[in-house]
Amino acid sequence: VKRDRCILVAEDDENDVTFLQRAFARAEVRNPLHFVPDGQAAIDYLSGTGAYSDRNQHPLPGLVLLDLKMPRKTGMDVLKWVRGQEAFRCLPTIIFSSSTHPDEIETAYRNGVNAFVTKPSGMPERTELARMIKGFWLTFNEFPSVHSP
Amino acid sequence: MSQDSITDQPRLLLAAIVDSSEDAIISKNLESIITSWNQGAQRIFGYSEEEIVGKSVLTLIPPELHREEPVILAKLQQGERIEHFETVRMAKNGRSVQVSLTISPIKDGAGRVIGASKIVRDITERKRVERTLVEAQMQLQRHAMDLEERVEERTVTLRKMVDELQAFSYSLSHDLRAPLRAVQSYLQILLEDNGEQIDASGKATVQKVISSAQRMDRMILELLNFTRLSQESMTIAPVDVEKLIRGIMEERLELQPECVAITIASPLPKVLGNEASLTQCITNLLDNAVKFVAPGVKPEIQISSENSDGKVRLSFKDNGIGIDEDAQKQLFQMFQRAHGTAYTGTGIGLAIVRRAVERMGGSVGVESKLGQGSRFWLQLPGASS
Repeated sequence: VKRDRCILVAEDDENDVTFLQRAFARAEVRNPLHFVPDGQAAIDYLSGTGAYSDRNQHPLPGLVLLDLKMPRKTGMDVLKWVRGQEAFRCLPTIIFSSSTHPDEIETAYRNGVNAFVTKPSGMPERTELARMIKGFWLTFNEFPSVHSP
Repeated sequence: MSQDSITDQPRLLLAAIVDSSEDAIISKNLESIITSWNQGAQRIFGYSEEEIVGKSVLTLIPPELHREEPVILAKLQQGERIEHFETVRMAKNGRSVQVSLTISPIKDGAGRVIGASKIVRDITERKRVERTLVEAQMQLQRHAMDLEERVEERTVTLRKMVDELQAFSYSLSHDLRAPLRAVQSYLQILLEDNGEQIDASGKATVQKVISSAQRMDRMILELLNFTRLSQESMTIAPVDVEKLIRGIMEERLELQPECVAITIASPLPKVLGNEASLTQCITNLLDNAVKFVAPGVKPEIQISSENSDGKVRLSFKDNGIGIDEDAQKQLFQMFQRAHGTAYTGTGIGLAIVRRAVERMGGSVGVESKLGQGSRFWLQLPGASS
């Protein structure tokens, strides 16, 4: 069931984590959100290693949201890794960026991102975005099957 | 007798010419024996006529160049002339003399070669000047190479600086905007969650902080736009301005017919420019024209063009509040705001217009009087086709 698929969010800025949680709650997104604080943690989560080895606690996501600028591994690094894995080649992945450099948008799409979104500045805009993600990605969109690697 | 005097006169004249010549004029027979010697020859080589006549020309040739003589003789015997042959000869005191030789065969009445006349020019001084010139040229070349190296070094440094600046402005956008977004968002959360506990004036204050944060966010974004505009390369191509303006008018809510009356003196000629930059410039000008009107006045904009000397001047005339003369001078500078806080803005819009237009090889200006509207103009090279 689509509603059960969790969303993995890689975001290092604690404020943005708070805002995103709030926006998703306001948009009444029922899918569980799992947050990781950097790019390497996102890779560890997806590959189920280290702290993320328990798949009951850390289930595979149906959708991945990646902040672009993160410590250890950037969102772009994670994207490239994800697309290089047989298991995750089709995993819907969205990049969230606070800046819109044309080169980066192009690079992200070349590397197989499904959408590139500029982080909204205010709460009302964030809630609107969460509603749209819910309406499109979590409702109308059909997920490919994703298996453990 | 009378015949002698007729033939003698030119002969005397010739002798005088030979004698007074700056160059050495020497004759020799086919055995290479010197048969005549003028004043010039004495000056250059130091031998007097008595000393040298009857001696071999080899006396004048440095030993290592003796092989030149048979070659010269062979040519003379075939009746050939040798012109401006540059070589070295030796003076009486052993000094080397740089010379230019012109040697012509002397023939008898039957046309047989019986000797040669030589004109020897001392070119030591000329050679010295030539050498100095070559040295100067080489030095110049070395300097040029040095300079090129230094320019290259500086270019590398500059490029590094530009890259650093770009990285800096990039992280500026990320790092500065994040806390601003946080300020704005937490205040919005405060209003949402604790709105009931805050009275109306408190809410108004919070709202002011929010809009200040939003304004600063826009400024950072526009600053980034501006630096990007200054650094990125720009492709120039013919642009259909009229189509571009109509596109902007359709796209922007603020430019819909209910909000503003825009008239275009159609057709506008095509210009040479960068479409994206030109879109930004014209959008900024139209936005300003709409924004800076007296309260209650519906904005009107007249867009027209003038074509002269291959340049196209696009004018945007508005019915706005106008700009006083002092403010006009600084209008296109960064962070200059002619109308203070009565109208919102970042003070970057017109600086972007100027930078962009200048990078496209054009210019920008304004004619205005306070209370009587403004006419902003962009001048760009016309696209001939």
